Amino acid sequence: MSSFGNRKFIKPVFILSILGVILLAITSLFLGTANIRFPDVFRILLSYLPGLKGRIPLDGISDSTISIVIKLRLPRVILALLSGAGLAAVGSTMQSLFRNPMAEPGLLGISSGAGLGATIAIVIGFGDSIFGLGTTAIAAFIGALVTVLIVYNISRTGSRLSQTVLILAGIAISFMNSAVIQLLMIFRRDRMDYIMMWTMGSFSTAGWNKIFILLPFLVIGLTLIFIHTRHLNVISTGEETAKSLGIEVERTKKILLAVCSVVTAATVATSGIIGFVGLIIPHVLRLLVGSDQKSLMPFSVVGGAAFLVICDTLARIVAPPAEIPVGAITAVFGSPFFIALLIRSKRSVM
Amino acid sequence: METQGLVEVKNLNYAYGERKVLEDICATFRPGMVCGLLGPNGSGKTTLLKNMAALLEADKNTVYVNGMDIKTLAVSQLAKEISVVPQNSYIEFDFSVFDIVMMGRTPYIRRFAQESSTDVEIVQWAMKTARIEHLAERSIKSISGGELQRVIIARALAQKSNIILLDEPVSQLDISHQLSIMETVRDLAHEHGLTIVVVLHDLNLAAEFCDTLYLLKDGEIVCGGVPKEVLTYERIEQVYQIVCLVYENPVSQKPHIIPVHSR
Ligand SMILES: Nc1ncnc2c1ncn2[C@@H]1O[C@H](COP(=O)(O)OP(=O)(O)OP(=O)(O)O)[C@@H](O)[C@H]1O
Ligand SMILES: [Mg+2]
Repeated sequence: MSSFGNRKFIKPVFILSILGVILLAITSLFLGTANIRFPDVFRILLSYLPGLKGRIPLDGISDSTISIVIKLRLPRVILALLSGAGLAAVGSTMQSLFRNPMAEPGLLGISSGAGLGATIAIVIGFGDSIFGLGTTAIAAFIGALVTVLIVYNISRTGSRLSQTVLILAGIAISFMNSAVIQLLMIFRRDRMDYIMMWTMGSFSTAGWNKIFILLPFLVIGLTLIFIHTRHLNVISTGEETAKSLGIEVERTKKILLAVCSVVTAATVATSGIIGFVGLIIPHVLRLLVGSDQKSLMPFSVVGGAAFLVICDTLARIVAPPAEIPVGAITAVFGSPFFIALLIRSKRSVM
Repeated sequence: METQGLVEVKNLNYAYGERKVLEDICATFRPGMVCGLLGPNGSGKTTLLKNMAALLEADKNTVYVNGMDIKTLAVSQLAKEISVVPQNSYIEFDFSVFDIVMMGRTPYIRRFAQESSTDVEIVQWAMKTARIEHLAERSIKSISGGELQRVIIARALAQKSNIILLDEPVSQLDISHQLSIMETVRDLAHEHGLTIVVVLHDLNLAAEFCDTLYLLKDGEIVCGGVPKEVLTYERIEQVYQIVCLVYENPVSQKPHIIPVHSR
């Protein structure tokens, strides 16, 4: 087996991967249409670190450069990091919870449910202020939660969960949510661009206000997920087994589904529907570190963060000055991946 | 400690929705004894076992563990009393065998604590007892059906409960492992005072290893008692619709059944 023999390497590899993500984030700050030199990015960042303020000479760097790095690119990179971390953790959680390697907020309709909630809030007229964003996030959360409850109850009979129905119901609800979003867009043509962003996902409007909205949900959500990693492991081997091993399965599921809805909703409210992160990242990492959530979850968080920073950087630099929605990039990676998964699961059934 | 491990089922009825499956079941399972549940497919053995582990929602005051209504016990508390080996185990994700057996320690490990050296020792003992030590680092997805069955038995052993409920634990095992597992559970009952309840299809294995037997048919207990009383040819014919011969095993003096043909 690839992973089980070398448990003791997991910690150092994890630390290395965190350093890797930091390097990646700084590289992303340096890439873009405005030409900024790599050392300048470093100097600007260092000068903003608490304790170093004013001690780093910034001469030779124009104010607009500083402002591009600090006000535009930095929040964007951070938002991508946070969203990626959250979505991958949610995907990983849902896969264990539903015992289905294809469970993911996008495929189960949670993202589109959140998108619908957010769209309704936007159509009503809530904007980009902290208050507006907060309301949008709450609307997104309600949309996400309602969707998850519908999908879950459709696919379950008694204590049994039909895995096929779960995915099909998710996809069906997802279509319905998207359809309603499209309809709402027709009614509010003036806000079409804005709503479009929700359906494709983009970090182009990232700002510190969005980070402040997302961060608390993410911190609480991830904390709750990490508290439950052992439970998740046991539940992923079967619900009855988990119950006979002393786990309050129903309560744990409720908590974690709520967490998944909240985290998904917060990312959707701030950056729109970004699909496939929660599918690809835990999957690839499962091949590398195994299915034990005690190591899979931290790696998913880091991997998801790295993945979205890469995707968003591509979104910015592939076809300048135009921007590609980051959701389109993740879908380009994700769709073939999903099809490969389907083919593999078909094989294992045969 | 004497009352530890007593399980009583009193007038238990159970239905899946409209479908009545168990009717008025009364049974007692005592510490130090291996008790077998026998019966044709669909007679309700698994349903009874799941009720005894509180995995199904039965009425109040039907199942008692150590004299207490099972409904009043917390899930976490129950997990230290009862362990279950389910009839079928399918695990989707690729944990190592060691990880799966270690999950048996879940009821004892606090939320943020690591597995202690005691936990590791118990897991090693359980793996040795189920003869799966050599599989420890293998992926659960890469082992055979019989090996998986032994892994699940090891997980139940690692749970260190007073009561072990096993649903067809030897259905996929070769004859050597069948005997070894049955000997193990008999030792646990006779030497260590555990309560063992085991669903079996092999009447001869049941006759050899069980101290008492309950025979189920269509959700009712047809008869209960020591193997000699329960496994008579009239009753086997009535319950299983087969014609058979019943001899006495010259070594163990237990009944030995030879099926002749179905009716
Ligand atoms: N989840 C369920 N929903 C509805 N009916 C069920 C369910 N599980 C079992 N049954 C029915 O209840 C009856 C008893 O099932 P049970 O699994 O207890 O039988 P069993 O004695 O364990 O059989 P086997 O020897 O095949 O394992 C059967 O008629 C079965 O069809
Ligand atoms: Mg059964």
